[in-house]
Amino acid sequence: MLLLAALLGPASLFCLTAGAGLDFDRLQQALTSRFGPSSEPLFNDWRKMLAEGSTRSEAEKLRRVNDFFNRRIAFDDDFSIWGHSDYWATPIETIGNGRADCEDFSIAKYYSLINLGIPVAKLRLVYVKALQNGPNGPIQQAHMVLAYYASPSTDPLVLDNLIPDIRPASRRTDLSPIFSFNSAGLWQGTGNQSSKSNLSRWQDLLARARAEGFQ
Amino acid sequence: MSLFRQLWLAVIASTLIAFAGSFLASMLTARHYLEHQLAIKNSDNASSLALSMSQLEKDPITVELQVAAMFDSGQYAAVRLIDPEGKTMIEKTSPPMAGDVPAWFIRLFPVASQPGLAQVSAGWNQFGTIELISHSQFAYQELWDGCLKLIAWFLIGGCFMGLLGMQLLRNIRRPLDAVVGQAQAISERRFIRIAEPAAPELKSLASAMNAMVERLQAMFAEEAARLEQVRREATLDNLTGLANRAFFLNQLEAALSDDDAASNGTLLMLRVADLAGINKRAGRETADELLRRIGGKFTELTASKPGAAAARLNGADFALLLPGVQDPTTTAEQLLSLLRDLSSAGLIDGERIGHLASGLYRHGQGIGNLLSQIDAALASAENQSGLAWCRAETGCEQHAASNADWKKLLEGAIETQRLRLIDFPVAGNRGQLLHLECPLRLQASENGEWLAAGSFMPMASRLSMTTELDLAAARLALDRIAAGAAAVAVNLSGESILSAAFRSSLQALISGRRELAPRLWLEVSEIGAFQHFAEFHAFCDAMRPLGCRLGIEHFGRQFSEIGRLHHIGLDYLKVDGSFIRAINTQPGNQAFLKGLCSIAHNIGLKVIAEGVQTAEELATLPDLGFDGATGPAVPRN
Repeated sequence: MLLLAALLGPASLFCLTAGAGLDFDRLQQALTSRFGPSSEPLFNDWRKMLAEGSTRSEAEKLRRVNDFFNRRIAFDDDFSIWGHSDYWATPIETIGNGRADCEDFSIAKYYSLINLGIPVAKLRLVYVKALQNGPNGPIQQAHMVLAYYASPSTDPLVLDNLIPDIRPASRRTDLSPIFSFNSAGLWQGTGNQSSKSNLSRWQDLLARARAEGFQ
Repeated sequence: MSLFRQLWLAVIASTLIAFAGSFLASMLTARHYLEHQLAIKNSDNASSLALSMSQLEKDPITVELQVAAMFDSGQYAAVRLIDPEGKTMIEKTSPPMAGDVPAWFIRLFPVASQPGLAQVSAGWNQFGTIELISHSQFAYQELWDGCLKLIAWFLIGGCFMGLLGMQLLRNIRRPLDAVVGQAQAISERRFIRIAEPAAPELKSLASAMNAMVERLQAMFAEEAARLEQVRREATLDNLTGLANRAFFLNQLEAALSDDDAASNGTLLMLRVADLAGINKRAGRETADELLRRIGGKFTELTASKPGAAAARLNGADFALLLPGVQDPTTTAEQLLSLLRDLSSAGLIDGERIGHLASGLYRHGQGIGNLLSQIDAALASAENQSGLAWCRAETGCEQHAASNADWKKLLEGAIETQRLRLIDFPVAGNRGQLLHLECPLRLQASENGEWLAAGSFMPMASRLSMTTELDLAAARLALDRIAAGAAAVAVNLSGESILSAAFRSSLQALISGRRELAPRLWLEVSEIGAFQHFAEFHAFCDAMRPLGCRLGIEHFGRQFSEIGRLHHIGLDYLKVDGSFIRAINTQPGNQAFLKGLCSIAHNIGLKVIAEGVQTAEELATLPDLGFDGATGPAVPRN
């Protein structure tokens, strides 16, 4: 059992990094069984976008993924989607609902880019404090974006759903970063982790995505 | 391998398997749990350190202090800060903490501490990665403690199981041993019942065994009852229950010639004067009643005197043999008064009532001689009056020695060991020697006469001195065996075996020369054995384990008691000479003896005929089932 766990950890990381061998049939099965056939066109488009993007440059991959989700998925808060706040949805859940919260956008983009072959080390999910203009003046809001680091020391590109364009972080004065993470080096339990209470929200999401067919 | 050992092994093996299984399962589960906990702790602590570092200044001192604070406040094997290029910026490590967990255990159950990783950022820029590894010592300690606890529980549980199993086995073994004991007893022809255990499987075994024992016992009882009938018909007078003429003459001859018979005694004869007349006048029924009454009196008289025998010789003649009695006056007067009573009761109606004759005999006298003397005395009594008693002048009256004289004589003989054994061969059917029967001889005085057992044993018995004589006889017998005799039988008197002290002395004597014991045959007379059967039983129980052969001599008159011999483990019976005499011509006795041999063989006893007088008698015996014979007709070779 121990041996199995030790083998599974690195193996899943490797697959996530390489982005190879996504089992679309299995993903589709997971999607249809939960959300019905009506969600299939969006799924097929996503699949097509990934297929077309796989041979492009990294900049082009970023643009296509960012545009796909910003255009096709409507923003909504977790409470109205899931009935409770702060639910991290897997990409399949996001596609199935057609609606998503800010972290769901970032997660769906993160998974899609990894599938297109972007190394995990270049991607960071970043908690940011966002400054938005409201009817009564600017308001601060907790938000999440996906950052892309072409190299460790460069200014990252920000993939966001508030501002649909990809912009360098230095130009996003409305965002101030708090903390960042990715799935590199993350201990993911023993593969069939059933006691979810032991997992962080991030680990929980990884486990659910793995159950749907993301390696 | 014994059942006991097999069951033990099964208990041990099952306990071990249960232990190994639970040990492995619980160790692996606990280790997995601990690894999981360690990984979560590493990951959480790395994240919280990274989060706080991301918020603060990134000058080297602050960064260093933060890492140091984290490292120093917890139990970490290593905390590292690695820059985005993979170069270690800060590293704090500590060696594994010493614990009391043995190294082999750590090698056997390694607990992996999966490092926790978290990203530290400075604004949008990557600053580095925190890698944090907790010490796994506490996990080993947990695992080791669990292991020790499990072993302790296993030991306690194993011991408990073992004790439980042992008790269980004991419970199973006890009835099994009892059944084995019973089966062994059956092979020794002893029929004992055993208690039935509670467990149904064993209970059915025990009850089947008990049922078998009961059936066998019932079979023997039935056979014995049938034979008792045969014996009565062959040897007893139908009307009075006394011995018949033929049997009485055998008894008389035995009394006159057997080696251990009393040296003298009295023969008494009674004749009802006019039985034919009574029969004619008062009827057959009255005559029969008269004879029954007289018979009853004779039975009463024999019961009170050991060795006495009574018989109805023919129509009106009764005889009474009183070995060892020299003055029959009391008995004679009892009989005279009986006749008087019968006369006054009207059962004897004539003038002539009855006549009595008595005569002393001595051992070795001829039977014809004795009977003719008694007949003469009876004739003179008949000449005297209607009711008279005459003593025959047999010329064997002798001065009776007093008790004190005898005591002195016996003590002197024992003290100076003026004792010896003589021997008679006891031969099997093919003439082979079974053993030497060795009666004791005692020299009355120095260079004096050697007395036969029959002449001094009755006195020794009266003076309670048989135990010393019997012990002496047993000692002499062992000497004789040691000197090369194949097997030696000695007679023990019934009085001796009554004494517990005698039994233990004899046991000690034989134990001291145990290698000789299997060649020593010990026998007790029928009267001695059955009169105090419980003591005889105790005697047998004490002697059997030594390996001695045990038997009853002069057997036959109390044949109906043979059922009691089933369970005491005897080896042989010697049938009294009075049954053997002229056996070749007595079909009634033949039937009885045939049956007796068959029953005795069924309970594992050899049967030996005593007092075989003629070659014809000897030739008849094997067909009846006898295993051996002794007496004048058995050749000494």
